[in-house]
This record gives sequence, C-alpha cells and structure tokens, in this order.
Amino acid sequence: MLFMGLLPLVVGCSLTSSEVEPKLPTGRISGGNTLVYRAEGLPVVAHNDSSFGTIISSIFGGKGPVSGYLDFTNQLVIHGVDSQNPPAAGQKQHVLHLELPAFQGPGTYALGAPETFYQVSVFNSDKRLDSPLTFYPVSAPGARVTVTQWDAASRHLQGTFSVKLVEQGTGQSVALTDGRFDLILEQ
Amino acid sequence: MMRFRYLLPALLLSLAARAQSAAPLPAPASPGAWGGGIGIGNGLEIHADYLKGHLLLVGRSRYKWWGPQEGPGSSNLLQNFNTRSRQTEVAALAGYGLPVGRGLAYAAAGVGYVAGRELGAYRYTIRSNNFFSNDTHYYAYRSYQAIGVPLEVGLLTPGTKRGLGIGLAFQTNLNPEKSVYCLLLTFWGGQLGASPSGHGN
Repeated sequence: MLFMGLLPLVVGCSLTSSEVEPKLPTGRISGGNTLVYRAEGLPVVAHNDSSFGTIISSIFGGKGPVSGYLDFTNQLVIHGVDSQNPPAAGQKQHVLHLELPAFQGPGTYALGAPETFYQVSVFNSDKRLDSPLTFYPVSAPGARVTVTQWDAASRHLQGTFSVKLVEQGTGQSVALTDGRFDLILEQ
Repeated sequence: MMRFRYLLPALLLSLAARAQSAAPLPAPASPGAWGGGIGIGNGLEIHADYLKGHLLLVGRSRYKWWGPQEGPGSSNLLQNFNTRSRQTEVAALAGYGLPVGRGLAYAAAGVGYVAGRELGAYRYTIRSNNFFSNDTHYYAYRSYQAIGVPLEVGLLTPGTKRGLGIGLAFQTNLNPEKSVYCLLLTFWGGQLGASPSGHGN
C-alpha cells in the first residue's frame, strides 16, 4: 500500500538512448561477390548469392549484383548494385562503378574519371526507379582504392576504398566510406 | 484485429465463472502464500509472487518482440527474428488481491527497468543461399534503457490437483522510451497456483 501511495511520485526516466546504424557485414556474404560501403554514414550492401531465383536468372544470362573484370588494357572494373533489397516506394537503389587504370596487383590506385561513377535512384509508388542522380569522383586524394589482395590464378580480388563524389548539376556531394570489396573477377 | 475485440472480456468472464463455480475451501491459517510461473501471449514472462491478506507482491521479467509496421520482414512473425524491435523488462510490483470465489483478481503497480531497441528505417537485405527465401533484413534502430512504471491487472483461477493455476494478465510498462502492452495467459505454481484465495488470509 505504501508503494501504491508513492506511485504518483515515480516518474519514468530514460537512462540511455542512442541511434544505431547496422554494421557492415564482413567477409564474403553468402559466399558470393561482395561490395559494401557507407554512403554519408548509411550502410549500402551489394552481394551475389546462389539462391533459387539467382540460379534461374543466371540461366537466362542475368549478371549478379556484384561483378568485376580486367579489360585488355589492364583496366580493372568493379560494378555493384544493391539489387537484393526489395523494391518499395521511397527505397533507394545504389550503383557503384569503379574503374582502376593500369592495374598491377596490390597497391593504391586513383580512380579513373569520368569512367567511375555512383548513381542513386529512388523507387516510386509503381516500384519503378526514377531517373538516377549520378555522381563523379573528386580528384585525388578524395578518390582512392587500395587493392589488398590479388590472386591471379583464382582471380580473387580484395580491397578497400574511400571516395568523395559530386553530382555535376546540383553540386551535391556524397562521401563513400568504409568501402570494401571481395570478388572473383570474370575471365 | 476486430475479431479479437471481445476476446479479453470473454476470457476474463470465463475465468471468473470458473473461479466462482469452484467450491470454496476453508482458508487455512497461513502467514502468506508464495507462487510463481510463466506467462505466454504477445510476450513471454516469468513471475514470482507473494500474497498476504490483500497485499500482493509481484516480481516479473518479461520479453517482448514485434516487427516493423511496414517494410521487408514486417510480415510473418515466426521468421526474420533479426527484424524485430524488442524489449526486456525486470520489474517489482505491489498491489491488491481480491478473492473471487477460490480465484484471485488483482491489480498492481511498481517500478521497472527496461532495455530494448526500436527499429527505424530499413537499410539493407542479406540474401541467403537457401532454396526457399530466408533473407535477413537490417534496419537502423534506437537502443535504449529506461526506468518505467509497470502496471498489471489479472485474474487467477483455482489450481488443479497438481497445483497449477491458470490466469490471464494484462501488463504494461509506461516509460519515456517505449511503452509496451502485453496480454498473457499465465500459469501459476506453488501455493498460489494451488488455491490463490485460500492463502494469506
């Protein structure tokens, strides 16, 4: 009864409260090619998988969300889109296309311009993508990619990146940080 | 939701009728009665209780989880366990117990600590390699701890010969971070589970 009498005096209070962004996954996600980064601090995750839908898609020539290859001039191309996210109105889709000229294995590279780009599209109410905003990298040192591991035999490539990009029309900039890729390059 | 609007009153009436119809037993002289058990509903709890006269003391620990209102993983409560807001509560309550036949109706309030997370905006999905979809969806969230005011009203029916009482409890915890509400089917053991109103008088 005493406690009931004291109840009006008891006022709830907050002890701690913090906003948390989910961590970027580590390693190769679902055993497939992986490209992850933070865009203005928000996580973006693109990866390949071998689910039933993906297998069916590949039969008809569909490419995975993350791919990479070396062209005949030894230019390294890495392409990733977070297409595994379900399309929903207001949801964004991110495309990152990195090109590293004169690839020679592990090391730090400046990104090729204007070949490298980053696009952000928004799904409308019909679950279709609106026209994308396209960003291009700011000149060095704002656009750097570090290849940490390259195995020419297995074509396994790993690396990190941090890139600042600008949209030409509006001048809007975006910082991609904590970038990481882990993929098998196509033959 | 509409189809369940009469569920709570119906359950309470049913439990009250069961309590009323049981033949009352003479109340043994006792300094008080202990009990405890679990609760299952739109949350899970364990509770320990002490009744002396009309004074009821309750200690409870409750866990509740729920999905986002919309977005990936919002459907199918039994999947996507990662895509859930959640709250754990540890609380001590004191209240008033009123015999109803051999059963017990009660109300209690107290102080409780809650810790949990509240999902915010959707961020990304990890697709699995499974034949059937078992994707994991990730959301931003707010992590919190708070002190709040737990409230509980409930009804406990006389127990079986094995000393298992069944009841119904409506619980809430009012706090500045996230107040939650639970309707639980409760199971009581111990002296209270055997005959709640026959003790503690």
